[in-house]
Parts: sequence; structure tokens; C-alpha cells
Amino acid sequence: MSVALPAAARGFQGSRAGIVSRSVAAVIDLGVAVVAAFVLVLIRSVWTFFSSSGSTLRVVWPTRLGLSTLVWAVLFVYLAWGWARTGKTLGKRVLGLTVVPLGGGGRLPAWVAVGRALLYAVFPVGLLWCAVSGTQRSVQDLLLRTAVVYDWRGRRRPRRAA
Amino acid sequence: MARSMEGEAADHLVLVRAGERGVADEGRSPADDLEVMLLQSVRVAVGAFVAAAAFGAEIVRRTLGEEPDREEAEPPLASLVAGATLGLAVETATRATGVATRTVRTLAPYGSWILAATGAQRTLQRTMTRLDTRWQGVVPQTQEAAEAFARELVPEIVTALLDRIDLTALVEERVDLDAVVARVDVDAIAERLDLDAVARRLDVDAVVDRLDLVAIARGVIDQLDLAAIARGVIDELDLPALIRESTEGVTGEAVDDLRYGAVDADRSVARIVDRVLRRRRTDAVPTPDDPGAVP
Repeated sequence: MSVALPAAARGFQGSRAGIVSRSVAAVIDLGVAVVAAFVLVLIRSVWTFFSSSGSTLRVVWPTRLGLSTLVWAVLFVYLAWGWARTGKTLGKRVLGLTVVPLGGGGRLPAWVAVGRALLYAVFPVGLLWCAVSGTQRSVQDLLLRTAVVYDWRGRRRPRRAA
Repeated sequence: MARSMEGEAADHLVLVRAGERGVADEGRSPADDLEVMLLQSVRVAVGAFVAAAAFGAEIVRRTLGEEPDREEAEPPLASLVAGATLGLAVETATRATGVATRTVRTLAPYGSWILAATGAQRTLQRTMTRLDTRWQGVVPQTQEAAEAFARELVPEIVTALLDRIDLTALVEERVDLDAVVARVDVDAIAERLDLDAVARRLDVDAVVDRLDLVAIARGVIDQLDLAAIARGVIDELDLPALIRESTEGVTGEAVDDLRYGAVDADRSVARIVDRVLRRRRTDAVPTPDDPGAVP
């Protein structure tokens, strides 16, 4: 069941998304990665409490480097998984964006998704190039021949039959 | 009526009292004397019986310690019953005397000479006259005693009988209550009721004060299977679907607003950058208000 788009939004579906939409989506994705990393820290703390006798239940924070590495790793896995699966992460789903290959096909190859996630995790500032680029493409898009377009379709799940 | 009968009988009997030889005695035959004797015999027998009853009644009256009320304008039912009983006894005696008299008149010619010869007749007459006089004297007392006896004893007997009878069970067994109720005109009774007056007399505040509403509510709640009711309501509502739809509605609007805002911001930023770089964008970002600008 396709969900009807608002009339005002139908015209720009499939056109390139700008820096603001993509940045907001990236911030949401970063937040998701941070929360997921925090959950992992909590799980590790609980595991430590139960596995070692005599210890109290408290949050066992890793070192700053360890925490950064954890967030980076989570972000990489999360982005790669989302783009390879549907071309959307949670942030892009909220903003109605989709990553598409320039060559068509609608869905990113797995290696492209992984490479794009790795590039964003290593060099996130490359996203800002889409503001300067005449084609609304970031550094990662230029390297991997991808683009981010508006795609509000599938923003809501169809209602379950009563 | 009983008293009149009694008076009539007494008058009749007094006229034939024995032992008073006057003008009426002249010219009497032996058969007449025998008739008088028989009448007096019956009267004495009745008098003895009534005297015994009076004696017993007097004992009861004194035991109960109540004097009869002689000032009553209307004789009570007990007095009427007692009087009627005495009157009936005297009337019965009179009838019996009449029968006996007719019998004696038939047999008198044959037996009167025996009584006259032995002299027993006069002795017998004196004795009976004395007893008759005494009986006449105790009649009022006897009557009072009988009335008091009946007045005191009848209620006791009735009460004792009622105590021994289960009237409720008797009514349930013998009376067709459904038929009785079916014959009752409830509408007519309802029409005769002044419900407004009844309502005005009700102190509703006092009634409410006496009600333990908390206990009543607790009892009602205890009897309700709230968990089952809640489950039924939830099943009917399909609460998950309701929450999902309402959440989707709210979040959907918020997301739309966010997206429109982001698209506008994208357009604004792109325009500023283009202006700074002095270029014409080929893949321009369309505005939500101008979807036709999309390539």
C-alpha cells in the first residue's frame, strides 16, 4: 500500500537534498550511534557486576579513546547496515532522504555502502562539500558516485487491516 | 336478648314459687302441686350448676384481681356471651320443665296420693323453696362472675391459641396469595398516595448521612470483575492500533514540518552559496511552494 504524499512535496521527490537536510540527518545518526554506544557501555557494566564477585553496580566508563573508538565503530556499522539495506538510516528516514547510486538501480551495492560509511566515519567533514558542490554531492558522494535525494515515500507504515 | 329471655323465664318461675300459700294456691289440685315441685326441682338443678360455675368464675376473677366495670354503656362481648349462656340455661330449664310438667300431669292422678299420704311433699317443697330463694339471690353475682371470667379468659385463650398457631405458615398453606394480590388494584392505591407529601417529609440529608457510601462503593467494586471489564474494553478498543495511529498522526505531522523546514533551509543555503559563488545551479533545489521548478 502506497502512502499518498502531500501535494506540496510531490514535486521535489528524487531531487538532490541540500546541506541542511543531510546535516540534520547526520546529527540524528550520530545521536543514535552515541546512544547505542552508551547502551553497550551499560551492558558491559552489568556484565562486569554479575561476572566479578564483590563489585558494586556502577557504570564502567571506558577511556576517552576507547569511548571514541566505540562510537566510531557503532556509527560505521550502523551507517553501513542502513545504507546497504534500504539506503536509509534513521536520520535519513526522519528527514525523508535516501542514498542512491548515480548509475541507477536504486539500491547501493554492499561495498559502496561499507565504503561510504567508512569514509563518513573517518572524514565526516566531507559532508560539507555538498553545500558548495553544484550538484549537492559530498566528498564521499564524489568518491563513490552516490547522491542523496528527497524520498518521502514509505515514510509511514501502511495501516494493518482491521 | 339473652337478658330478656332470662327475665322472662325468671318472672315465669317466680309466679309459681312454692311455699307461699295464697290466693293462687286455693283450688289447686294435687297435680298442680306436683308440677310446681318439678319446676322447682329443675330450677334448683340449674341453679346448682350455675352456682358452681359462678364459684369458679369468682375464683378466677379474684385471682386476676379485676372488678367488672359496671359503668360501661355498652355491655362487652364477654358479658353478652355470659348472659346469653345463662339465659340459654334458664330457657332450657323452662322448656325441660314444660316437658316434665306435661308428663307429670299425665301421671299425677296416679302418684299424688302417694306423696300426700307420706307427708314428704311439704318437706320437699320447703327445701326446694329455700334453695330456689338462694339461687335467685346469687343470680346477679353469678352473672358478674361469668362476665369477668369470660372477659379475662377469652383473651387469654385467644392469645394462647394464636401462640400455638403459625399464622404465617397457615396463610401460606391455605391462602392463594397470588390470587389475592392479583385482585388488588395497585393503580388505585398508587393514585391515593400523596407522594409529594411523602417526599416532603423525607429528610434526605439524614438518609444520606446514614448511608455508608464508601462501604457501598467498596461492595460494588468488590462484586465487579474490573480486570475482566478492562480486558474486554481493551479488546474492543484495539488499544495498540489506537496508540499506533494516534502516534503516527502526531509524529507524522511533526516529521512533515521538520522535512518542509529542512527543504526550505536547503533552498536558502543553496541560493546563498550560489550567490556567493556567482553561479547558476543546474540541479536547483525546488521549493515546497513551487514544485514545478523540479527538473
